[in-house]
Amino acid sequence: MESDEPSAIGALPLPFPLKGRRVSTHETADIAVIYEAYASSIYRYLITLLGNPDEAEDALQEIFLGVMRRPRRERLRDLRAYLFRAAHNQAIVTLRRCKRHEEMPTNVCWIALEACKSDDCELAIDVDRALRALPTEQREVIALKLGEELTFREIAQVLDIPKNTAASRYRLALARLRAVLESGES
Amino acid sequence: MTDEGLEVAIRGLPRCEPRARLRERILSHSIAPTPRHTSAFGPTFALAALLMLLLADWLVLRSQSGGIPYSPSPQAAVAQAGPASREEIGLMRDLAALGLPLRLAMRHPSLQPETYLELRNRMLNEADGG
Repeated sequence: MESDEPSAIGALPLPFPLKGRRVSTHETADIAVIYEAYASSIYRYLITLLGNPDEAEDALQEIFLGVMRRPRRERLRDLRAYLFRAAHNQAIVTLRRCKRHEEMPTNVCWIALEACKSDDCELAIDVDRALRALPTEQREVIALKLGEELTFREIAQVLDIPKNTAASRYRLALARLRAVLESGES
Repeated sequence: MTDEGLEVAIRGLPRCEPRARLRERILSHSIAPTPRHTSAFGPTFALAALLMLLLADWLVLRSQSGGIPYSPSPQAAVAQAGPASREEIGLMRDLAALGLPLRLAMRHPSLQPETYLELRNRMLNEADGG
């Protein structure tokens, strides 16, 4: 299932317009390109963790502000990994704050149900329900693997866990998803 | 449903996107707070200060090694001086008449005729008063 080829993060750390040149996270044009390339992925990952579109947008803004505030001399070796890692940390901060203020986040997932075609709609609703039933640590692996096409190596890097743990979480999540979907079908 | 089938099905579902206004909100913060050229001010200033220090060091070393002359010593001044003028001879006579140690006075090249005359007048006045 998982090849041992070099990580896509390391091989393609930058979106095409920025590839081959030094990127400044203090230049509006570069930030715009970085935003176009990664904001949607990071937003979907955040919404998977937070379950709330408004909180996810606020967290995304914090992440980009953090990128822009970085000292000019500090160079990012791997921008995409950095952004996902920052999203993971920011989500933890947001969840702690919500817990402290006893705010219950809206439990939504990264699937845009309103954009589903009629024939996909039933499946989308079932998958969405099954995903929301998963524990967060399994849901985020599914989001990174199937939603954003990260390899297990990259997922391990983002979540700061061993690669095998990422793979086993994925397999467990997939089995649980299938069980929930099949029980719904029957 | 197989695992592969489930993966394909999930990958094919539409994904949500952040709202368009978030992009403008974030990019509005991306204007650098300080102009870019000011960032080079610190290193340039440090380099200039270092060069000035090195130049000052070089000048001190050069002056100590005799490159830049100090004001001449009394002996050198005497040696370099030409024949005494009439005024200077008169000055020396006056010094001798006052009983001042002429040698001592001559060892002080900073002693100007005006200073000497003032000193002489004061001593003469004191002598008259005494």
